Order: sequence, then structure tokens, then C-alpha cells
Amino acid sequence: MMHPILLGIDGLGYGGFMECETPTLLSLVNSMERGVVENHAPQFENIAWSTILMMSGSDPSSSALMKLTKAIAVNLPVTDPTYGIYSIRLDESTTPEDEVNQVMNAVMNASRSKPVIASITAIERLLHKKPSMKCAIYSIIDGGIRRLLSNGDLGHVIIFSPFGEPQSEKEGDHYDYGVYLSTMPRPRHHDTVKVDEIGSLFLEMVEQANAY
Amino acid sequence: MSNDEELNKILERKYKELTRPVEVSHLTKNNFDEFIKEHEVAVVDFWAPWCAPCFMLEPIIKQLAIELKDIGFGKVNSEEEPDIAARYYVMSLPTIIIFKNGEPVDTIIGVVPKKALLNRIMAVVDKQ
Repeated sequence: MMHPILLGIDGLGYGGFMECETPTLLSLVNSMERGVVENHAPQFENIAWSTILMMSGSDPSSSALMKLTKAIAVNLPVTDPTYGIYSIRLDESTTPEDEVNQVMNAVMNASRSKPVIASITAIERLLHKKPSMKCAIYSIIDGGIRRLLSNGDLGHVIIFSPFGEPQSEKEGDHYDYGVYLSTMPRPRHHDTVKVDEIGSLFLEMVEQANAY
Repeated sequence: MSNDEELNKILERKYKELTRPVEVSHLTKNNFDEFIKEHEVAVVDFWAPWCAPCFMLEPIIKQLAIELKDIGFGKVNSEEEPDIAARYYVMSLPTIIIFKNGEPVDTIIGVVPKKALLNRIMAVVDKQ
């Protein structure tokens, strides 16, 4: 059985699911616990992830969430290059296909032994300057998620975005509402998910998985 | 009313129509009634921040607002404006209500494809 996975797809928005007709993501809205991540400006990737990881400074090894869950990090944008067993520069040098494929490979391998915390940064790296690539990137992400979900021994998963879609060329400028999809129900279903709650929700998921 | 006054009113109305911004208006108790009365056909999207499907519908509403410039498109945050939502018996989100001459004439509950929503709006527009 695969261990719990926390997968952040920075800048993913529900609006793109319909706009880009992503079959897997659309089906997940009906089949998983769904919510909306609410995060107002400033919406910088490294700040949001530092909060999620419960870091006490700029060093990812200080992350309380990583220590408590004993999770393996994959491509986390708290540093540049990203932090974890797969790592890229936070610029345009890595294609969305490469990133999504490599992150998914790393997540699927690592989660056989431990919980995994991973991120896909393609939307954030590319859409601020090239918004016309939106549906192409959504389609690649949709394919990657389909590949992940096709594992017969998949355990619990949270797929989320710490903020919504990029709104302009300006870094840190996003829509205030992101995605939250989980295999586990959460309390206060009729409330938005705050960025500082995501780590706790994953910790709870890992503790429940360990209890079985 | 003199011919000049009548002409000025027509010109004012036309000017307002032509300069009306195409974005979806945020409606509150302060502007809701005026909004549904000043547009012959108005499409109002009832949403809430915690409602994921509401955000799926949002780009469709925005696209239609750009394409159908003669129709008023508005959105009501039903958490902040529970009285407006209650007045029209909005029990599920998202709910879209199409108004004609200030009266609700059609209600669409849940996320629907753009074409389906467009057909429902045009049915109201075309109805005598």
C-alpha cells in the first residue's frame, strides 16, 4: 500500500478544469472530498510552502511537518533549485512534461516506503508570462494525475494549490482561491481551507494511515 | 414630455448601454434590485467562497459576459448576502437565476457546460 501523498500544484484553479476540459481533474471534483483554498496576497510560492511545511526559518530541514510525518520531499519550491529527491530550477528551463513525469515517478517510487510531500511548479513558472500555455499545461498535469491514480495500491492523497491561477505577469499575483481535493473528509466542510491548515490536515492523514 | 427630453433619455440609455463594462458585477443588497431592473435580461450567479463547483463555473460566466454584451451578468456571494439568496430560495450552490424585466424566469442549479447555459439564456431572450 502506498503511503499518504501531499501534492501541491501551485497556481491550479477550478476554473481551468472546465475551460481546458481536463477529464481526470473534472472527475475528481465529484469523487473526492473537495474544498477551496483561500489565500490572499501576498501569494509567493516559497512563503506559502514554508507555512505548509511549518518551517521555522528558511532551511527546509527545519520543517516540523517533514519531521512529524517522516515524509520524503519532492521538488518543493522553498528553495531555488527546489528541495527534495527531484529538483529543478524555478525558471523556464524545465518543460512541464519533464517536470510532471519526473515528479510523478519520484512520488510513486517514494510513497512505497514513506509519506511524500511534492510539488509541481509548471503553472507558476510559466503561466505568468505565457498565459496561452494554460490548457497545454493543464492537460499534462491531468495526464500525470491520471497516472498516479491508476496505481491499484494508492493510499490517501491530498491534491491542492496554495493559491489560484496567475493573474498577471507580476510574480505573486494570483487569484485568491485554489484547489483542495482529498481522499479524506475534513471538518468544517462549508468553510475554505487556509494555507496554514494544509500541513495539519496532511499530518492527521498520516497519523490515521499509521493507526491501521 | 417634449421630443428633446425623450431624445435625451434615449441617448442617455444608449450611452449607458454602450459604456457598460463587460465584467461580471458584484451584487449586494445595495445594487441588486437596481441591477435586475435596469437590464431587460440579467443572469445572476449565486456563489460562495467554499464552493468548488462555483469556481468551475466562473470562467464560463465571464466568457458569456464578454460575448453577450446586451445582457447583464452579476454574481452574489450568498454568504455575505443571505437575504438575497433566501428571497429566491437558493438552496444549492452554484445557482444561476435568469431574470427578465426584474422577474426570475429560469433557474439553473449546478455546473453546466457553456453551450447549455447559453441555450437557456437565449431561450429567455427570444421569449416574447
